[in-house]
Amino acid sequence: MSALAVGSRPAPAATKEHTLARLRATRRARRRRTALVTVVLAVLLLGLTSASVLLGGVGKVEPADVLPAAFGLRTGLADYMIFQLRMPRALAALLAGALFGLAGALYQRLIRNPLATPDIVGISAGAGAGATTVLLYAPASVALGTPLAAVAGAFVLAAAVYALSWRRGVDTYRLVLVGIGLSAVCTTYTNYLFTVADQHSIAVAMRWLVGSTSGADWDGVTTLALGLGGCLLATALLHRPLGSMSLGDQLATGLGTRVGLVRVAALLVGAAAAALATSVVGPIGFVSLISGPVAARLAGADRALVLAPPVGAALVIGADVLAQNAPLISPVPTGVLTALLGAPYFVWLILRRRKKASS
Amino acid sequence: MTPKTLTSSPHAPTAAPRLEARGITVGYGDAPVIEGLDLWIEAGRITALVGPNACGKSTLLKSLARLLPPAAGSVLLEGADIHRLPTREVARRLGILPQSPLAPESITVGDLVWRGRHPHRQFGQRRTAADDEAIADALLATGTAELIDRPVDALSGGQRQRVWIALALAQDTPTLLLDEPTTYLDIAHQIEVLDLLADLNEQTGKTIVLVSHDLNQAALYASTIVALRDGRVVRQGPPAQVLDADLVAEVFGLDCVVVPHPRSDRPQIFPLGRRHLTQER
Repeated sequence: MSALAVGSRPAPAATKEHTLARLRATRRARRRRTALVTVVLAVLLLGLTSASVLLGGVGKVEPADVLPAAFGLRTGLADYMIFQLRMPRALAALLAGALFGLAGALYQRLIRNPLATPDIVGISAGAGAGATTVLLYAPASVALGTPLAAVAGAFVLAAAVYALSWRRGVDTYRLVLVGIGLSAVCTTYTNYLFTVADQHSIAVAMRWLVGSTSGADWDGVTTLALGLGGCLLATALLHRPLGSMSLGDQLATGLGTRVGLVRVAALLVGAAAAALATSVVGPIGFVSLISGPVAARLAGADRALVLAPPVGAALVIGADVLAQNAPLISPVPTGVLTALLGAPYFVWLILRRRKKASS
Repeated sequence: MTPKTLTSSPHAPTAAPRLEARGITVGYGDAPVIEGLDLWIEAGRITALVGPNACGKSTLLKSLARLLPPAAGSVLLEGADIHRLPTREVARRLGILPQSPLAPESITVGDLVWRGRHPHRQFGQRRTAADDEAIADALLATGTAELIDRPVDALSGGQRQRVWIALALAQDTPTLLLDEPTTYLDIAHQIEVLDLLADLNEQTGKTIVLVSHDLNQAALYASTIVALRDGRVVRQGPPAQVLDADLVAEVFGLDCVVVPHPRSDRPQIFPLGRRHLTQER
């Protein structure tokens, strides 16, 4: 080999010091960017939460009473309006939005496709079917029963979608098609339940099915907070293995990642996150689809999983403030507004991918 | 010309092998691609696995890298069963670059190479100085340091392949397995990648195993050639000893003339097509 005269290559321009300095500079710049985005999101969330509690849609509360009531220091109407209605509603919007954002970003990262979110691949429909069953047939055990039934429904759907679309690797279009098919099955089941339920339960379940934060109470907030805590913890454990799995299963295995275990864990965590959020505020559409890409645009693809929860929270509470207070349209269910934002994006995604595939 | 049947000539290792396959049977589903195969990979050498399409060379490489579990037999890494070792431990000793890894959308070169440090990271630990060193060394060795902030999508095929090798180098393993690292590259980039691997082998003593579809390049760069056909080893040894017209006939069913490389003593083959054979007669 040494006898081979290969044309002399130009001397490398980069030195080790230079390269190390560039590595550090890139990392510093990215940290600053992440910090900036985090601060902006925190301020935005604080602002939207205050707006939600202060404006609050229906009912009037003296501005001076709002803050004390929020800490449970008022009784009577102010207590009821602020502490029992508006606070749980705002917190449920924040927490559910964070869970939707997390679920979507997890699935997008795992399946390597922006279309593959729990609502698109049918997981949310499974959660909806589970939750509707409890809402209609066991209204007494709604507080604990709805979240559990939703998670169970989501897990069943996740297993079914996975089993039906897995052929030595996930083909995304098969995944989406299987998801659409199974969603239809779940919708049919839910519709059937409606035909045989009583009028009052139907009214409750209908409002919930469109996706609305208006029914949220402190029980729901507790469920969401516990769920978000657990899901964030699991995501922290899965973050790096998922990063190596974005290079393909073989390379990830070569890098020491237990690919099968991580995939199943991420699927279940994402399904649980979507299901818990759905069980309290209903299937608020498209939040899980948009949050990850917005976070990636703000702070880089590597940070999408970390920042998708606050982005999702901002989307849901922002939509909720509009849904309650916007002139002409309010009050509408929150899910209507997120759909207005998300549906065009979804169509654009599909059209863009079609164009990409045909070119 | 009727191919002579060659007996396999096991190339007995001088020291303990770095990697060893003992009677492995590997396959997808019912049909085994490899049946009862034995192989030694010597430490500090470049070994090339060659053979016709579907001869099992890629399957063998994946088995050696524990990507495919054997149905029977075992793969030993430095004497220990590779499937009994913790996978992260294996990942600190052996790197594998598959044939078509995926680059996440819009990832930069620096971030991609950083992924190679995965087996060295502890949970919750931030990037260490050792990580930065390994990444910088890998970028410099592959001549990709200037590309550090460029998105991988925007690179040429040759640059991209060097970046993937940089990822494998950042993993910093004494053994590196590569599945057809020169596929899809033009001839100049192929030689560039092979030169790089030869340099690494020479300068750091890295044990390299690569699957090659090009007999001549394998003969030029490898110190050991493993010729496979139908999932078994036909011959194994230094190119000058094992690469001859009989072997090419046996393994590829191709007639050829073998001559030394003009600037090296390594054998090179010139294929003889039907028209060349009739002219000869």
